[in-house]
Amino acid sequence: MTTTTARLGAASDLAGGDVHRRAEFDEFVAARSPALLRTAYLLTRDHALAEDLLQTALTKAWFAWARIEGRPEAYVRRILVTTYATWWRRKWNGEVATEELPETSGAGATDTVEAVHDLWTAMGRLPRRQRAVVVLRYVEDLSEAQTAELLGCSVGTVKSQASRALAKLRIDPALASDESGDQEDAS
Amino acid sequence: MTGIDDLRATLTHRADEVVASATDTVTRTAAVHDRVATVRRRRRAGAAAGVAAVLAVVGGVALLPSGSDGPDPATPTVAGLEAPQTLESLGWTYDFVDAVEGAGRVRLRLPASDRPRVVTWATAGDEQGVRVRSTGEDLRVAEADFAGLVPVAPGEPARVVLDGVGRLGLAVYELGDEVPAGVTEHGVTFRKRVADRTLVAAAVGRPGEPSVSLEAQPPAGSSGLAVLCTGPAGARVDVTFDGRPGYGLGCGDERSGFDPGARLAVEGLPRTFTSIEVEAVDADGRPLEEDVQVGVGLYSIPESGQQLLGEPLPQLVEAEGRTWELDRYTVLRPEDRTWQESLTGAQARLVRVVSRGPIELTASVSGLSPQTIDIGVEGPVTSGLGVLDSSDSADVVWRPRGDEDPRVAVVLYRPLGESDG
Repeated sequence: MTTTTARLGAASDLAGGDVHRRAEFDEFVAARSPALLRTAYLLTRDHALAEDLLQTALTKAWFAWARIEGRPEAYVRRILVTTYATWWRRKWNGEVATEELPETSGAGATDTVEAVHDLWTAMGRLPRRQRAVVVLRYVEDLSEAQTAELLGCSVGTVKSQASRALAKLRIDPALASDESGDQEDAS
Repeated sequence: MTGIDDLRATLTHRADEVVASATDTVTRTAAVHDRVATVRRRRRAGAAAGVAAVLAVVGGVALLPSGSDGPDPATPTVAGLEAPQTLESLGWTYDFVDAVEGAGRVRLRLPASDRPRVVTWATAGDEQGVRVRSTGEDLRVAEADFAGLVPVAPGEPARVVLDGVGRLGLAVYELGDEVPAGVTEHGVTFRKRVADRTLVAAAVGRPGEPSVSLEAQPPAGSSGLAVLCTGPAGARVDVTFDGRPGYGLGCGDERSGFDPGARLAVEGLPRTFTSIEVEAVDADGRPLEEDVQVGVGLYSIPESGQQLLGEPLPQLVEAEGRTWELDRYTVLRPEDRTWQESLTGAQARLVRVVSRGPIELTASVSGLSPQTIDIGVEGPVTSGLGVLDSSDSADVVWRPRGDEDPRVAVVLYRPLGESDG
């Protein structure tokens, strides 16, 4: 069990069952926030923004903590992704996605560091919804259905967004078709 | 061409780096609880901060609501009267937020909010001769305590001034969580009843999905569509029936997502269809991928049975945050260039003018500054002139704008369900 010694700056707000709830919550933050930070960072591509996004999601989760059933991490991750998807533009408007990617250095560019840099740069140019699909599908290893559920869209939309994202990343979509293949959203 | 494994490795490597240098969890936990405390403080102060009321006193001493922190939402009082916890307007429920009081004059400034609000008022005594100026120009005689409403749309600031004698106050209500009967999907509600229209079917897409289909057939009689489309500037929504092009409509911003059924976008639908699809596209006709939500509601429109200047005369209309029913109408003779009405004891009346042919219309309702409306089209055109309150009068003067002989009629509606008293 992980315990924390977080300072109780807001202890005066606590009463009764809140104390127990807070202990559970703090334990969760200590244990799972690093994993959630990874997701936040891959979505925002900025360390400070990722921390801000994570803390925003955790703050929202605190107010719903008593109502969360099952796995709180999935719930918090949903808040995190939803917050990113809906507030991103208002709050963190310094980042601009573009449709067109810069030319790569060609087939001869085999330097691993450069390839990694290119992919990371290309990720940053994806529209945020496509970026979220890539992170959830290929880093968090969520299924298309789970990704759709988390993003609040149809499976068809996840497929089409993933297909477009991979095309922009210059990754053959066929390499990623581990479920039912790519097809446009029919919904 | 790189592969999925390269992508996964790249992203994992990057994520590992940030976790290694991240804030420690103890600090993060403390920061989160600091935010929680901040949110709690903001919520406690939210009512007062959201209202940002400005009190002004004319001929009296300002009276703050009881208690130094403003009125207790559990037992709100305004001008010494118990205010309702909730107000209903057009099927929507609004929760009490805050109130300001004063003697002689109360001014209220509401900054723009994402949530719809309504403002109502009350006076301590029996004297009802207060006046409410809700947009800087509008000035009207108030109705009974907590009976009149000033709707404040999402995203719109408002300034409300209440003038009267003695102790009086303005109360602010904000849209609550209850939704009216109808179809609610993904945070959007198409109301079952809008004036005399009835919802047949509706569909709302998830946020981010540019299109939605509604499987429905046209009802017997007249029907119309209410369309939801929130999107970036320049976006439009294409409406098709069984794949056949129908209409193109402009999209609004997020604020237009509230109560989409209130506005019929299209009347006179095809006689037969089995599905309606709406799709939001950008200025180049490409489906939108971001920041979009669409929906469509199919409404049946009852046959009016009454015609006015060749057009159906609605029996029920919505205006000023409430539903009104037809009271009476007067078709003016060509030589009658003026119309005047005084209410004595009767309750408020919504005043509308229906015209056919180009006219210039000048009207003053309930002490409003005279407004001139230039109607250059053949029509018929319905012009809303405002609310005529009890013990006040309305004056309408019109003249033709050309050689034609326009037709003009004045229509009065009374509050739905209220007798003439």
